[in-house]
Amino acid sequence: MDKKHEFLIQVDGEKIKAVEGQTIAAAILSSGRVGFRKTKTKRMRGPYCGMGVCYECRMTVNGVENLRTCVTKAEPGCIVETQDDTLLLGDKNETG
Amino acid sequence: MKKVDVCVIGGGVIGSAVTYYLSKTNKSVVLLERKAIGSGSARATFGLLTIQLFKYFGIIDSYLKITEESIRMYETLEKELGASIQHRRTGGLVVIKDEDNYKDRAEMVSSLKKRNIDIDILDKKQTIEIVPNLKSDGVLGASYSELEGEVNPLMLSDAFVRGALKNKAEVVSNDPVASVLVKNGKIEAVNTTQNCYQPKYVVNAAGMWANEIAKMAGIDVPLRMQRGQLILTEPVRPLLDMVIQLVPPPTIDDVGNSIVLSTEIRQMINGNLLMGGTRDYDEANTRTTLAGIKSIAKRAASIIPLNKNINVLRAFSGVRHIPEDGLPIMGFDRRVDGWVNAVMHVGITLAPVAGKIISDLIDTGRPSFDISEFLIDRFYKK
Repeated sequence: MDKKHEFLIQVDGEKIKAVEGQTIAAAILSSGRVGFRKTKTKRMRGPYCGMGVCYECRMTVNGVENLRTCVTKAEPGCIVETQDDTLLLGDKNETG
Repeated sequence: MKKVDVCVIGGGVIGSAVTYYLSKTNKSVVLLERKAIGSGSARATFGLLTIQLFKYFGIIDSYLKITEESIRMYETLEKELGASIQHRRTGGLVVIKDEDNYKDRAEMVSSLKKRNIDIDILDKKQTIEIVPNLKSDGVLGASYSELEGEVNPLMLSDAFVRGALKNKAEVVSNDPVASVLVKNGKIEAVNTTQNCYQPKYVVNAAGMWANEIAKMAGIDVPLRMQRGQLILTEPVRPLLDMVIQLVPPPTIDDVGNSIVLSTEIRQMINGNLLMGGTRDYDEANTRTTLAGIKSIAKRAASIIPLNKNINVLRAFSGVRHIPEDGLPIMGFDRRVDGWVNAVMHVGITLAPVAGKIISDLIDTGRPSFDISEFLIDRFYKK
């Protein structure tokens, strides 16, 4: 059986393995990490529904905030960062 | 035929509040809800607790008094009901971008201050201090009151019902009132699709259907319908910790009505942004329109910076049922013995005090606050 194409992605500065066709969430979970984000009250949250409706898996991917990692495919070299919701801030990506 | 002291018709924020406060008295009460508790206008409101409405109809002291009291009652409501309503006293900010509006609001603020209301007029700098990520272009200042806050409107009716059930009130849902039998100006029966009641008192808290219910008893409630659309986005990063409103000068809508197309935005507990609204006169339905959604999104995005990629999860609407002069309609209706009106379009802010007033009125014969200016007679006096 052919081994599926493996590559690396970066999650909070750490390089982790991903496999072609895998979602970012699946890759992160496979690496042993379950906490994806911190809530306003400093609690950790991770994927819950796994199908893009609960929004608990949301992270910043390649600078784009608030992507649901369970429905976003991992791409070679993509940069994933935890969103810290303990901070109140203004959004940098403005509308017109 | 079930004998009961009070039939409350309508399980929205007002009806459920009335039922709760009545359940604390020794009057027997049954709440009759046509569908599900809180399924009428109660499911489509912004959840704002506000005292800054006096711009619209001048300051009426008895209205100001009950508004103040109601907001105060919210401070201990969750504890009393033993149910969450996600109440937060966040302070309420109304941003002003128009010179004349600024003058008007400054006048309103000073009149309210004379009546010991905690409210201030802020300049641009002070406004930005409160909302650091405000889009400050064109902002002249704001009116701000520490008294104001927010609740989760979807939880409010249910919380009152839980409280009422604890006190052994009867709550019936999925059972519309089908007819009301009135003979010689007295209530003989209230018939639902499943039951018959013989109440001494009927409280008409049927919101947008209040006139339909009143007609069953051979009377009426003069209301004008005005649909308000809302949109809810996906959960986003924390952007706001209070409700922000933008209130422009009045404009004329497509058919010549003068409306104040205000914009509200707040962030819910899970991070979703709730934005409103529209003022669609005479639309007595809960549809949403693409024009309405676009208008809300555009206006909300003029208040704080919003990433254009934020997904809108749903659009929904509710019907404001507005008495002609904007004031609540509360108290005994002299046309039918025992008939009590409890209809208003500022439901969220006034629910606790309205519930208490109506309950006291029925229990003791006297309301706990001066409601002489809210009686339905005012529309029929010459």
